Amino acid sequence: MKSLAEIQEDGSHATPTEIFWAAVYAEYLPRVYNYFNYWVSDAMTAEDLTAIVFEKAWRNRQRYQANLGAFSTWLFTLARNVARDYFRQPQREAPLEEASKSAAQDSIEDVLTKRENQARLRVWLAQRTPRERELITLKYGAGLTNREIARLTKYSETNVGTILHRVVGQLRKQWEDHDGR
Amino acid sequence: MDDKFLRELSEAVRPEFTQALYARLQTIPERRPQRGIGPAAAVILTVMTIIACATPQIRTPILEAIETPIARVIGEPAMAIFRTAGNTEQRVPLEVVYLDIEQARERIPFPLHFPTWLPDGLEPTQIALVEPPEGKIGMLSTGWTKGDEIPLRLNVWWPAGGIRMQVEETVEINGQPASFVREPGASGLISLTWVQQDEGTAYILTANPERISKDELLQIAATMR
Repeated sequence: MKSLAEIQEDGSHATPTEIFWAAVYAEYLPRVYNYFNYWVSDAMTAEDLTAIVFEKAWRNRQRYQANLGAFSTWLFTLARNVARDYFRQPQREAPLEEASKSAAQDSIEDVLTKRENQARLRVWLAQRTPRERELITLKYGAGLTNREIARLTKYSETNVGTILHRVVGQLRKQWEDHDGR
Repeated sequence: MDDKFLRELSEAVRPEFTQALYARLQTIPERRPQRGIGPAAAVILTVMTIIACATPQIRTPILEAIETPIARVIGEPAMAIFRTAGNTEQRVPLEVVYLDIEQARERIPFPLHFPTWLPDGLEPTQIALVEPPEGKIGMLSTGWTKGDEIPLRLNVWWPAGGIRMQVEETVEINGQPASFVREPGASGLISLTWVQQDEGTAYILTANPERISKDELLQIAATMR
């Protein structure tokens, strides 16, 4: 095992910013990816959108580092803007719906596989209001706390908790009803 | 409330995507924060004018030098690729799990040292853990929030041989030498790095000096048990 002195003698270096970004990349890449994965039905699109977010963040990393603010709020603000831009394009509206319908047809065959569970969830999420769907996406895709979601969406934390409680309850009932058939 | 079913859509990120994206990020220059024109900006403008007037043979290497990203993250982050001391590379797929401290302690092969003292008002966040395949580098990362900020982060890497730190000042943390660094430039972040010799782990505490002073950072490190 190398000692610190030996490590230092390597001649290379890492700055606090480098270490910070290494940790950030590891920690947030899956969260951002799954944020988009809850919105879109194919992994390639989720990857493309994730890449856009990280490229924006990377270009502006000095701006963020200047105050070391709430990183998740900053990053997911970028992610939300990327999602809005994506769905603002007219051709993007229909594919999401079509993907959900297609997935729903597939799921009739076998509700036990993960893929079909996903299809069911996508259909049900697509039936929610945009606000409900976004809160679910931020909570379960991005793994944010209610407080972080409130900060990001400008809803009150209580409001976020109330909406999520109601929507999750309704989705769970759908889930259980489906399983119980 | 049982909401486990809602996590069905969560999936692991493909390691190939992780590595490819990180490699691409390395080629993207950092956008500098815009400030009012001062003496430094005037010098830069003069230099840029000279560059703009230079022949392509001169201009290209100058621009390449300027556009080289300053932040050269250790190897490739997310445990995708690490350059080790011998300048070889270790590739590790990205699989992050989020845990609390007790869960993390159950999953890592060494006793995790955590601060037993922190300045008032700091709240712990989840721990992100990347468990390494055999012989590779693992990482544990967590932070402490205060209001909207994350003024303190702790990163633990193992084995420690994969970490290379610049040295500004050597201090002692619990009988072991540690490197203190204050980053120049806009961020000004301060950090302490040391290697737990008996465990082969590297600890890096990084703080925002506007919220946590150097003395407090040293005190936090000294209370890690």
